[in-house]
Amino acid sequence: MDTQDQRSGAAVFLGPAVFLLFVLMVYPSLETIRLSFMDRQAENYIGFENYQYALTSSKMQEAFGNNLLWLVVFTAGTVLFGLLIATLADRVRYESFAKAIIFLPMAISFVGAGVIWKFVYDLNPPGTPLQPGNQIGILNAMILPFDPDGTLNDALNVLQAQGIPANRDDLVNAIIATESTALQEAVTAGDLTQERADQLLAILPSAANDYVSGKLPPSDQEWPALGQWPRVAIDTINTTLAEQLEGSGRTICNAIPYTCVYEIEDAEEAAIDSAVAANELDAARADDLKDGLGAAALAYVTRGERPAGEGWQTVDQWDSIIGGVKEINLRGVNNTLDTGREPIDWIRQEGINNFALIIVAVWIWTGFCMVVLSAALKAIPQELYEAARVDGANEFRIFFSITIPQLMPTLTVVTTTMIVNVLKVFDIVYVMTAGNFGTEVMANRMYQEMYSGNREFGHASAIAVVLMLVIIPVMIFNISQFRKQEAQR
Amino acid sequence: MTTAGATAPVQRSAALREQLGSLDWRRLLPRTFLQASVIVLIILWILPTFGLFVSSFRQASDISSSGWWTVFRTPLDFTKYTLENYDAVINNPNYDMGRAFLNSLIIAIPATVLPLFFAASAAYAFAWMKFRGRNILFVVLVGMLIVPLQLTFIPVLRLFNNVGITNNEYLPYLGIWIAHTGYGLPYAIYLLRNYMGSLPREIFESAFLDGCSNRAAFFRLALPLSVPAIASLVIFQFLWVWNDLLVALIYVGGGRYAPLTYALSGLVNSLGQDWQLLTAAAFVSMFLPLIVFLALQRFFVRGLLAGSVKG
Repeated sequence: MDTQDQRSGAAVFLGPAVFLLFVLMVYPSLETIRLSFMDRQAENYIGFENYQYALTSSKMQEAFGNNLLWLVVFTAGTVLFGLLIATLADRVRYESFAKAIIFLPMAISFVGAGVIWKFVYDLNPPGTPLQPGNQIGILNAMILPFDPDGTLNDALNVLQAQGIPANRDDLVNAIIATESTALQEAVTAGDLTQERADQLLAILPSAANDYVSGKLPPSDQEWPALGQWPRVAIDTINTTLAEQLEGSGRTICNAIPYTCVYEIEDAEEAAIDSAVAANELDAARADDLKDGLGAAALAYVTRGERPAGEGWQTVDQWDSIIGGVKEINLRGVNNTLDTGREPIDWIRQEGINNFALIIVAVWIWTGFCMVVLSAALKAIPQELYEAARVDGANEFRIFFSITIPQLMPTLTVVTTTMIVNVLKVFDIVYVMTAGNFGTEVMANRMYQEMYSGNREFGHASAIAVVLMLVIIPVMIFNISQFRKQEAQR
Repeated sequence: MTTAGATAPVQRSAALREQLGSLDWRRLLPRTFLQASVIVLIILWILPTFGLFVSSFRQASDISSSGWWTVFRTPLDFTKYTLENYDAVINNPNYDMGRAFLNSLIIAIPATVLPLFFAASAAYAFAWMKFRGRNILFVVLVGMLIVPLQLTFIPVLRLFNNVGITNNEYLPYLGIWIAHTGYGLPYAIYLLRNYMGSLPREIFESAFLDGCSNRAAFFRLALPLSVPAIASLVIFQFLWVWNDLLVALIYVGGGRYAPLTYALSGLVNSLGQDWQLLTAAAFVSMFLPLIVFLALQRFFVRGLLAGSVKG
């Protein structure tokens, strides 16, 4: 075959690939570099202005910082977990199963993984003590198994500790009565089938009892009057108080201080307002007083401390206010029992959220590191281990003196591969935070510059070039190590 | 009867004691610890996906009021599971994941076949044809591996706009097909060139001596012999395209043509806390990759390992 024939033949074979690569990669790469020196819509040459933006703007500084954090934490996380799991799984009988499970996330898109983990990180706003809010995100549910703020049981305990006779059974019965009425009404209104209502009625006594004892009612059931359960319980307690505890407001205040705090607050606030209206009190001073009122009232109720400073209007009556308290209220009980513990907003809270995103990426990529390292692990000659064991080395010694040095070339390739990945990280950030709340990264910034608002093609181009300049050295090192390692085999 | 009943436990406990005495606790303890750590890691890794899976079958009122793990209080009460969520996300035109699934297939199949075919023919030329500049051309093409895709978006998008490829009514997917084909080439060429180059030289030499044309050698020898490499690449490229979000965001015009990842990321923003729909939609998008993973694990792992640095 002559050269001419070969050349035209080669043109046919190579034509499509060469054409596509020049149009889609070679030319655009050069063109982007040119665009990075042009203005927003690529019309005028503007020198290094875009680079000034790409290197010094606050958003990009934030992105550099985050990319660096990703680089360290993500790379360390994936490589260490990958190595750990590869080493551990090597010694169990269900190795292939274990490895399949760890590798599974690699099959899922980053968007899918983002949804999976948004659900893990989900938070419900905290409930009030007697009306607990359930956390449906597993992480917050582990922190707050159910809202830890006091339950009815806790309320009963503090009351009984003060010698206030509150009867548990009365509460249970009141809740059952309210709920069964509501169930019947729901059936009449057609919101509930009779059959379903009967099922609920059957478990109602135990649900009500659980609730009073401090357990959440089974929340996978629909209780039409669930929202009224706390109020019914408080009303029942108040009935008892009215019957048996005429006029001992002090006892109630010792048990549920916030009930009395609110009484004092209401009286004092009204008095301050009328004093200001009558020009007896300076408006600025009135605001100060109101700001400090809650704390002052609480100090008075719990420790009997009279508030410092001038201008309090009703302070002499606070004692009689306390003495006159006849019943507790829901708000007071809730506030007294509130521990202030709240679920964590993993995705929005700065200082946490970057780690939350990195964990998602580690979850995805650990499987990759594990498989590569596991293959290299199995390629280490057994004789090395046997010789070491004969010499009496323990497992740790063997791991650090034989396994790690033997794995070094593979570890290098895996690490640099992870670094390249992390520098380009986009999807996870885009889906979970869109770069908000202090989670910006370079690749997301580039996308945002291109598509949101002003279509800043100049900025985006400069960021892309910066991205390339950061990635290419790592990439070249990665490929040369990879080839070296391949050549050794 | 009584004697047997009385002595057997004694014998057994004596045997047990002997066995326990001979157990080397220093070896057993680390083993237990090892088993426990592996199991904990497995649970840790599967739990998030499992929670999503369970949740996608729960009713809206349940999912918003209680954690998915509570279903295991009464796991066999099947009345609390439902397929409504899937019905809604697939068929309801507001969510339209059914359409998006179809879009993903329409995008991914050509975006897998085309680059692999072009790459195979180029790889054949690099492996078995002689022409001037062969090495330099190979280095330039494969060198594109190190270019982050971001570097190409703006000029390619402008080019597509100028020649009417973006927002093309008749061929709405043309842009993304071309893009994925181009982006898939460097790596596929690299891998297939290595694979084809390592095929036995004698086969090709004797074929050429018998007057076999390059076309015939490519279709009858190189392609069939490269099936193992091509299979891994097919799976890798297909899943890469299926799971890709970035390229779709750049080159797919409107929501009507959006693939699953694009549609799902839109739902994340619009649905927010409607977890019954989000979980079902996410699972629709993961369904095919998971099947591919479970059925073709070996090829899947090989393909992914080989192409890890792409994009």
